[in-house]
Parts: sequence; C-alpha cells; structure tokens
Amino acid sequence: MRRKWKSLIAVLAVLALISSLAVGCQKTDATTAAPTTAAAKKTDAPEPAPESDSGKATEAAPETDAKPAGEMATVIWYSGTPGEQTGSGPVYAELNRILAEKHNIQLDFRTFDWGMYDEKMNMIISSGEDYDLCFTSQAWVNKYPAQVGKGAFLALDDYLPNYAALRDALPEFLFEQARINGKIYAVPNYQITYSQWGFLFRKDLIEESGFEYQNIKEYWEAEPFWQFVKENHPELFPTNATYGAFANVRNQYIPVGVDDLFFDSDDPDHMISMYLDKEESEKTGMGFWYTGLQDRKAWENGYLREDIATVEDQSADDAAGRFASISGVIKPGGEAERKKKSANYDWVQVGVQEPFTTSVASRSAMTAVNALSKHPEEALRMLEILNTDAEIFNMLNFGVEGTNYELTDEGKIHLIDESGYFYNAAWAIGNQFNAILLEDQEDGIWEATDKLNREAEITPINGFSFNIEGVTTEIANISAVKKEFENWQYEDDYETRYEEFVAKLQQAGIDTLIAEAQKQLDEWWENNKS
Amino acid sequence: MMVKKKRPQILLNGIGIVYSLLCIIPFVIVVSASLSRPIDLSQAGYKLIPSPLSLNAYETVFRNPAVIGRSYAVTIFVTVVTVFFGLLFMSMAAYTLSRRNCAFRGALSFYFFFTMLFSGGIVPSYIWITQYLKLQDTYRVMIIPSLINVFYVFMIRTFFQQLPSDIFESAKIDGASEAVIFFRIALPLSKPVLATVAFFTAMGKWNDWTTGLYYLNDARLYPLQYLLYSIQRNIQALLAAMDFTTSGMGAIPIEDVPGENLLMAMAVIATGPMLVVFPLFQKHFVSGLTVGAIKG
Amino acid sequence: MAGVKRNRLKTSSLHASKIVDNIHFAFLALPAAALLFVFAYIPMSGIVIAFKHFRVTEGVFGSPWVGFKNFEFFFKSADAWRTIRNTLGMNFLLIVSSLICNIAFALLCYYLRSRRAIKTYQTITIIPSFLSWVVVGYLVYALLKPSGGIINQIITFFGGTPVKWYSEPYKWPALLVIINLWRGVGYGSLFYFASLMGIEHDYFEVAALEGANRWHELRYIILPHLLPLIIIMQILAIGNIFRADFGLFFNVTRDAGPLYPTTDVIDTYIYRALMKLGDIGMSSAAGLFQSVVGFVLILATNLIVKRIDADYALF
Repeated sequence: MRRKWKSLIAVLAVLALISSLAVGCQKTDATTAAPTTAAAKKTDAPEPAPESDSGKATEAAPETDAKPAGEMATVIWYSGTPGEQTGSGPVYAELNRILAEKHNIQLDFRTFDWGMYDEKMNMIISSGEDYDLCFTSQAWVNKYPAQVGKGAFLALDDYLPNYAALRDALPEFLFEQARINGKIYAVPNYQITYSQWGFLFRKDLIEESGFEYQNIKEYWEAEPFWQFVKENHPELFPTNATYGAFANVRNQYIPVGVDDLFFDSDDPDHMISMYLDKEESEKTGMGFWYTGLQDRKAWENGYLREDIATVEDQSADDAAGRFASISGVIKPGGEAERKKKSANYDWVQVGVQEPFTTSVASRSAMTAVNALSKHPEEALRMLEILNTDAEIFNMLNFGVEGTNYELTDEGKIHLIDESGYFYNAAWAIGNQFNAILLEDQEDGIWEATDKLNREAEITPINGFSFNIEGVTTEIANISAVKKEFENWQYEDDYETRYEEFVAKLQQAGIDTLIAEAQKQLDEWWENNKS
Repeated sequence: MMVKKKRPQILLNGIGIVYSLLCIIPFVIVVSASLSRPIDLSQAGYKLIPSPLSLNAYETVFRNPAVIGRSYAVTIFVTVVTVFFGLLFMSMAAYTLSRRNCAFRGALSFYFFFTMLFSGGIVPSYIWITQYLKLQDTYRVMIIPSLINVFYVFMIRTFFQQLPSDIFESAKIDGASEAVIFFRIALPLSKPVLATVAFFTAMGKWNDWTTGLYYLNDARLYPLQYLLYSIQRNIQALLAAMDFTTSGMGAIPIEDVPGENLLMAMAVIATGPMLVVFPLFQKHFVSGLTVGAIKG
Repeated sequence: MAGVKRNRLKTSSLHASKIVDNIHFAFLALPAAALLFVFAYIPMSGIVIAFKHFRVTEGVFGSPWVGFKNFEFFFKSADAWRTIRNTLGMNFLLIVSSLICNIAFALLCYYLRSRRAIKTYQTITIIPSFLSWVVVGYLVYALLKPSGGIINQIITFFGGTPVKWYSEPYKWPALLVIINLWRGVGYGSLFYFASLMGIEHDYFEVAALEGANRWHELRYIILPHLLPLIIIMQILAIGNIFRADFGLFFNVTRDAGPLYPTTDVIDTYIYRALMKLGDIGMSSAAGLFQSVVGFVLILATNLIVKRIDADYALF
C-alpha cells in the first residue's frame, strides 16, 4: 500500500514537471517567436485556417506598445448580424486595405446571429477571450449593467479626452446616459435616441383591405386589419405584436431603467412598482397581468399564431413575410430596412407611442471596450473612425461599391442581387447618420431623425442610472423566473399560473429589488432637486 | 401440444414487431416533413406521407452545399483523428496497466481510476480550457480533451489480461522488449476489443454537440450535431449562410421560403448516412461488449 | 567461483532489463496519463473557484476569496432544492425503468426461437441509440409539436383535446422515461442478452426434469446468472445518479421554461448559470456540490455492496 502511494506521488511529480516544461516552452515561444506558434497552429487545421486563427497570431505577439514602425494593430470587434454574410471575405479585405492606407489600423469584424449573440458574448467574456470591442445594450443582448457589474468593460473616462473627433461626433448627453457609478463604460451608437413603438404593416395587404392605419393610437385599433387578414389570408399570421410594448404608449409611467419597474409620473412620491397586484394592474393597464390578458385575447381571437407558446424561432416565418403586421421601434426609413428582412415585401409604418426619451435611451445600442483589451487606444480609434469616416462606415454596412451595391443617380444605394453582403444594421456599428440612403428610403430621413431626437419628450429622471451592485443575485433569479413563466397567459389555467408566477417572483426577491430601486431613486431626487 | 407452444411465440413476435415499428416511425415522419412545404407543415401538420410532395428543402440545401459539406468535413476529420490517437494512447496505457511486471501498475491504476470517481466539473474545465489553454474555436478542442476515456482503457486492459500469458513469456525469452511486445503481439491480437472501442469512440464523436455549445463560436468549425442544434435555435442564420438572401427586388412567394422542412431535411442529411453505416459494425461490437467488464 | 560470477551477471542483467521494461511502460502510459493530468487533474484543482468571487480580469488565483458565499447563493435560490429533487427523482425513474425494460427485452429475444427474428429486432431497435440527443429532440418535436404534431393529431382524431406538451411540466417525467427507453433499450438489452447466451443449456434440461416451469427457470437460473451484471451496472448508475443526462433534459425539452418544475436538473442549471447568466460563482458552487455528492455516493454504494458480497464490489 505504501509503495503504491509512493509511486503515485512519483508519477504525479514527473507529470507536473513535464507539463510545466511544456507550458514554459509555450511561453518562450509566444514571446520570442510568435510566427512559429502561428504556423504550428495552422498545421493542425485541415481547412484553410480561419481568420480567427490569424487574429490570434497577432495576439501571441508581445504586449509591448513599442511596435516596429509600419506594424498595424488589429482590432477585434464582436457584433450581431441579421444573418451570416457569405460575401464578407472580399468586403473585409477591401475594408482593411483602405483602413491601412487611411488610418494605419486593421479590423477583424466578427459577428453572430442576433439570436445567439447574447449567449456567445457571455461565453467570450467569461472565458477571457481576446477581443477589443463589442456591441452591448441595456436590456436586450450582452446586457450593459450586468457586464459592467462583472468588470467586463473598460472605463473610458481617462481615454475619451484624447478622442476629440469621437466626442464631437456625438451629442454630449449620449455619453452622460452611458454612465454607471459615474463612469462611462461604452460609447453609444448615434441613431434614434428616443423610443417610439408602433406597427409595420405589409403594404399590399393594407391596400387590399383599405385599412386606414395612419391614425392608430393604441394596440386594439389595429384589430380590423388583423380580422381582415385572418379571414382572407389563412396562410398568414395577422400579427406578431404582443401587448406589452403598447401598455404605456402615452408615457404615463416612467421606466426606472432596471427590469420592468416604473413609477407614475403624476405620483409626487414616485413610488416604484411592477404592478403585480391584479387590481392595480387592471387599473393602470400596466404589469404582467393586464398585458398578459390582452395577449390572451389577441391569441384567442386568432391574431397571434396558435403555437405562440411553443415556437422558439420565428425567423423563418419572418423572412418569408408571413406576418401581415409586426410591432417594432418606428424610425424614419425603417420600412426600407424591414423590406430586406421580409422577402422583399413593401411595408408601411405607424408610430403608436408618443416619442419618449428614457433615462437609458442611448444605451439601446452601444459599443464597449474589453477590460482586458491589449490595445484599448486602437480600439477607441477604431470607434472614432466608424463614427466619423463615412466611407469606412458605409463599406462595413453595405459592402463594396460595384460588387455589393451600385449608387443610383440620386446617390442612393441599389443592392446587387445575391452579392452575399449587406450587414443591414448600421445602428449597431457607429453613427447611423453617416449611412447612405437605400433607394427605397426618402431623402432627409436622417435630418428627420435628428429633429425627432430633439423634439421627443425627455424622462424626468434623465441622468439617473441604477446601480445593480448588491442586487445582482435577485436580478438573475428574477430573470430565471420570468423565463419559466414567459408564456403563462396562453395556458388553460392561466390564472393559477399567474399566481404561481407572482409567488415565485417574490421568492426570487422582487421586493428587495424594488426597495433598492426606490432607495436609489429617492436619493437621486434628493440630489437633483431643482 | 404444438399449438400451445406456438402462441407465446406469436405474442413475443408481436411485441418485437410493434417495438421495431415504434423505433422507425419517427424517422418516417421526419423524412416526410423534410419533403413537405413549410406552409403545409404549419397548417396541416406533420404527416406520415407528405402531400403535396416538395423538394424545396433539399433544393435549398444543395443549391449551396458548402454549409453542410463543411460541417461533414469537420465531423469526419475530428472523428477519424480522435479514433486513431484515442485508440493508440488508450491501448498503450491499457497494456501497461495489464502487465504484472510493471512496477507502478497499482499506482497508475489508481491514477486512472480516480478520474472516474471524481471530477472538477464543467466550470473549472471550462475556465482552464478557455482562459489558460486558449483552445476555444480550434479543431484541437474537439479532439484533445476527449481522447482518453478511462472506461475504455479498463475495457482494453481486461482484454489484454485475458490473452494467454505464454505468448508474452515466450516473446520475453526471445528478447523482445515490452514496447515491441505491445505493438507486435498484443495489439494485433486485440482486434475485437479495439474495434468495439473504435466504434463507440466514433459514435460518441459523431454525436457530440456539447463541445460546440461550450467552446465553438466560429461557424466554420461547427460539427454536424452542433450545426443541427444551432439551426433549431435560429434557422435564419442558416438561410443567410445558404445565400437565401432576399436582396432581389421582387417579393418571394411564401411557399418558397423554407422553414421547418429545412430543419428536418438537415436532420435527415446529417444522420441518414450514419444509420446505414453504423449497423454494419453491429456484429463486431456485440461480441466486443462481453469482454467489457471493468472490475478494477 | 565462476558459477557465482555468472549468477551475479544474470541477476544484474535481469535487474537492468527490469529497468528497461519499466521505462517502456512509462513511455507507453505517458500520453494517456499526461492527457488525464491536463484535462482531469488540473481542473480538479480548479474547484477553488467555487470559493472565490471570480473575475475574468484577475484570473483563478488573483480573484478574491469569498468563503461559502457562492454556496449560500446557490442554496438560497429557489431553484436549488428543485434541481436536486429533479435530478435524483428523474434519474431514479430512468435507472429503474431502463433496468426493467432492458432485461425484459433481452428475455424476449432470448425466448424467441427464430434467429432471423432476433437479429431483425435487435438491428432495428438499436438504431435510436445511434442518434444524438439533438436529433432525438427533432424527432420528439415532430411528434409533440402542439399544433400539427403527430400525437396531437391522433388525440384530436379520437375526439380528445390537444395537449400543449411543451408547457405541461407534469407530463414530462413520464415522457422523459419513455423517450429514454425508446433510445436506450435496444442497446441496453444487448448486454443482458449477451450474458443470457452464456447460460449452459444443461441447467434447463435438469430443471425441466425436476418439473420446473418458466417462472422457476427465471427465478432460479436466469436471474442469479444475470445478478453480477445487474449489480455492476447499478453501481455505475447509482454513482452517477447526481449527474443528469444533459442532452435529454436540455435538448429534448427544448429548454422550455414552463417545463422547469420537473425538468430542470443540476446539469442544466449549471449550464444556464455559466453560459446564459455568466455567473461563474454560482455555477461552480453547484458543480462542486454535484461532484462531491457524486463521489460520496459511489464510494458508499460500493462499500455497501462490498459488505454484502465482496465479489460484486467494483473496487
């Protein structure tokens, strides 16, 4: 027995020695002969080594800033995409050629489908993978407060003064809204800064039905159109719009900027609530209970798809144009963007909500710098380029002129069929106001957007930023409960399910979260008394 | 007397037939769905026999076969390399564990066996592999961490132990070294168990999708099963990758945009060939199974 | 003199050859041992993460210690108890149902007289076990899809009301058992069938002479013969009872939130905490808890078996 242990220890010692030697070798490799490791990496790939590998080759290079003249930094940028771009290779090559000439920098732009982006970014961040820039947003994907809480993003305050062009390109208040605990952790993308929910309708069906969509002021006013679609086009779904986004179209309730918490703008005490109580929910028209009942009604009437509770992925139906109407953020030129996503059907849009700028409005699309970035200066410079250099920005969004698009006589974009590249998410990569118009877009939409940006009503708590520290567990638990009960309203026993839902939310600490939000908001009012 | 004995046989056969049918019917439904139009699937539902028949899904796949082709290539490459090196390393270790004249046999057995009892779990492995070894998004991460399956090591060891010992002794007397005995004698005699292990390793690799779930971001490296998983989450990515772009100016008729039928077609293309190939090996591994007691 | 000398030479050369042998052994075992060291033993040391507030920027060793705080969070969260219960309960159901059905189908094949029939059934029924859980998920979806799925079409055909399968958690324990059997019995029964084929026919002849019926055969010949195999398989199964089949619980259920009351197990919980929330603290705490309990369970089971009959113990 003793011998067994002795020799086991010997075996372990030998192995430890060998593996430490191996790790040591790797290290010297990385510092002295970066190209060799890169070459070695490539040999075990039977197919042409993916770009990510070549990206890693530069990563293996020593971290010292003293780069030989002429050597360019490569900035790795993660973002979402509406779909993989088969023709991206030549576009990126051309983009990097110009970037090298004009700015002495290289871009490695990597995208995931928006549906996978959140998960993949979590994975990249928690694995400490090397990257420089990434898309982030307040409550949609790669959530900004949570990632800042984890320490994933770099505080930019010390860097920004050196990027005057970037600061000048964007209005100051965008940066102000990005502050968490007083620090800026991401650069907002300049697009619409207000929020306005509404409907997009398929134009052919609007014409066919003669429905007057222009004056819709609330969710149920679209019902005659849905009824028409249901009766005349059984192959289509009347809508994908659930009620939630339309509950607060008059902006009576002010979002606090965390979870689904609001307060009544008329309430002098600004009492925060989630409107979980059934009566309160019905009275205010807010909260899961009331909105859930509206969803149920729309579903029972056959306006929402029958299998709404199970269907996980609606992208194929969306791409096929099977939704006669959809809900979305209304913005100038939005119909043309929509057309490309839905089998080339023409669309018309109408805003239902009154334009409103929340305290986190500019956080809906931002770009953050990795806290572990090897070259944060270059990363910010890349952001500056995308926000100021329209040529680069448009190439990343539309591709190469002549290959992916042609300019019409009016100087608008005419996309070339099956060219394999149209990123179609200008709002995700910088300053949307630099984008060339699509041929379906009317002149002056950016000016219109800018005007609306300035005219929209602004939240009374502009400048308030909720600090999630201390309630991260509650937020995580609450989001888990929400996932579990995401479709309670479509169940036969929806009333009992709702009660279970509320009970579980309470167990998950919803009251703690509300109390914390209330505390922070009260403090904020105290400090910002005018 | 004869009648009495026949009845149980009919009953047994009846159960066997029903069970066999139950194993096959789901496939028929999936194949049928892959041959349907998406609009019929969502309106009329799934059927045993597609009506009307539509090759829309397969046309979409084969109009741009690069996506599935690349996935097939990755899967085959990873499977072949894993089987070869896994088998080599596992049988080498198993040989050492099987030889009584090995001084550190007991300790080594324990060293191997302990990994079956306790593991650090997925989180430490994940952090170690991604942050320190930086293996994410490589072919290596699909191969190296799963090369050694200790269960199979003990299975092979047991087989080696059951080989007649005089062969080894006479080879020793002839002056053969242990390495030579292993490569020249032990290995060639162990084809049944090696075939079994190779088969299971190959099947495991072919069906592996969790590696992709944790370690792969680059769509060009997706093996078949992870591709299937990811398109089930979001088919739009696949449509775009297959150049099913909507950049033309005219509207595309709804029947022509593939949906669930494409998912099912991908499942058929990804599994079909294996369902033909794997049963061919069945004869070999059933005999291999019996040698697999792993008492340590 | 000469004889002694020769003897010494012989022993020393024998000694030398022993060393050479062991060098060979070490060389042969090295690749596998090194791989295990890197991919099994080093991660074991990573369990310290469960006691740390892990921050990517500071790495495993730089992150600050937080004691049992991660465990506190895990056990305080409403899901901890539920995932533990589901893991143990579902695994128990899966183990017992598989055991019974595997043996039953092996016996069915054993009693069949037509060799051709045996071969046909075995070849067909093993096909499902060649499928990954991803593909099984596709098949199950085609059957259970609430609108248009085959099962609901059958239910409506007979005048019933269709079932919303993916939002009815209490139907899933049974469904998972059935799906698991569907995939596993063809393959699982082969072990028992192979073992049955090893029974000497003389036993039955003697038994028949003594007037034994089928039940007696089963009770006194067949079951005792299968017992060692059953016990070894069950030790392995019970040792892993705290580890759920991730693919079955995650993919076949389509990770549907409404099903969590019965299908959320430790493995899916860890996956969610790690990959969806990026909460390394909580997921590593749950993972370590799983590993430790699993370790204790397998040692305990083995000890009990050893007490009863040392021959059946695994180690």
